[in-house]
Amino acid sequence: MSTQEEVEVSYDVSNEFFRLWLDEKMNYTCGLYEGTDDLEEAQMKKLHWLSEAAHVTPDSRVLDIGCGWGANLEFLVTHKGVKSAEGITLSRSQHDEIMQRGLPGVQANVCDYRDYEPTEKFDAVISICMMEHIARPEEVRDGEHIKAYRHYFKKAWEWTNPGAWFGLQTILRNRVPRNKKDLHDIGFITTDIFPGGLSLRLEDVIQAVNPYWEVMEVQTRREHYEKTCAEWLRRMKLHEELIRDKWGDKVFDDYDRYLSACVRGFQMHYQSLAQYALRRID
Amino acid sequence: MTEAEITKLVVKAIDEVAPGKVSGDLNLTQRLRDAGIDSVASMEMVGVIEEELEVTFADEELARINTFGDVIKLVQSNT
Repeated sequence: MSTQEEVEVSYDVSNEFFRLWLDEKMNYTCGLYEGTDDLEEAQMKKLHWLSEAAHVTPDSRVLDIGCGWGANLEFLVTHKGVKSAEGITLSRSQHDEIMQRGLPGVQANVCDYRDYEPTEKFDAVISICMMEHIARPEEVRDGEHIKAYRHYFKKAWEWTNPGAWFGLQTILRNRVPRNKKDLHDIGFITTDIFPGGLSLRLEDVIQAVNPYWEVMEVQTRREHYEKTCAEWLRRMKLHEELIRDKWGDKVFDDYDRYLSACVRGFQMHYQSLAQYALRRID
Repeated sequence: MTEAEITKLVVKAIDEVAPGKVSGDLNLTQRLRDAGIDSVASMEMVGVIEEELEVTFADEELARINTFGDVIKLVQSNT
């Protein structure tokens, strides 16, 4: 599992920095470009898809594992009429942002999911690109990752009521590059932008959900993530001068390299994105 | 392809990505990293072989490559 320090390298550069180039609600994950070319709308469609996958109703008590800056929690209470939603994150900056949003019915906690103990069980779970932080690269290399992923699915099973559904989204590791520049760029993302984490292989998820969750639907969205990253990069470049001035050349250059490498990574099939609808095995 | 042809191809690929690391005769039990071929060069070598043979190897097969013998086996099982 990524440590709190590693998570904060990824998400705590500054909320203001991320606000410059993410969508207005600060979704830092792939949007769903179905019938739209607009990032804001694509992010809403993504959240809608996942809440449908999790069978969320206004009466559902919903858990968001790895809730980021609260975009999904906000969507749940403002668009789905959810009265009780809880999020967990390891990032203190993200937690601060959620608190500032003052969302009714929303509770957010800064904690490692392994230590989390809910006061009441949930009817639905949503987790958007958090699983990438569960297994460290060295754990994957040593074959320890499936055990770690299965433990995560077990915890989600324990925290839910019978009949629960789970809307899950993960980045996929599809194909290792075959050239030096792309290998170094992917390595840079792993060590400098998201230290302590690694994207998953689809077969890892399929293997690890058992015996807790049944896979009811899987959709891959490789092109959608390419488009999302390209838009993030475009927006970030619009603020180059401000970013260099306020956070330094290294931040701009690193994020330029990282987002450019992501666009190429999705184009070249090095990476993809999957969304899943999982049903609790009761 | 015969084993000799595959060996020749592998040596050529290594020469291209890590010149001077191997001679014409491969020690099949030697590990790539012991010959000074790191993981990046190893993937580049795979890329050269794939291009030459017009094949694409699956990632899980690549994860099993440790020795030169493993590389030969990989090519044999895909041609």
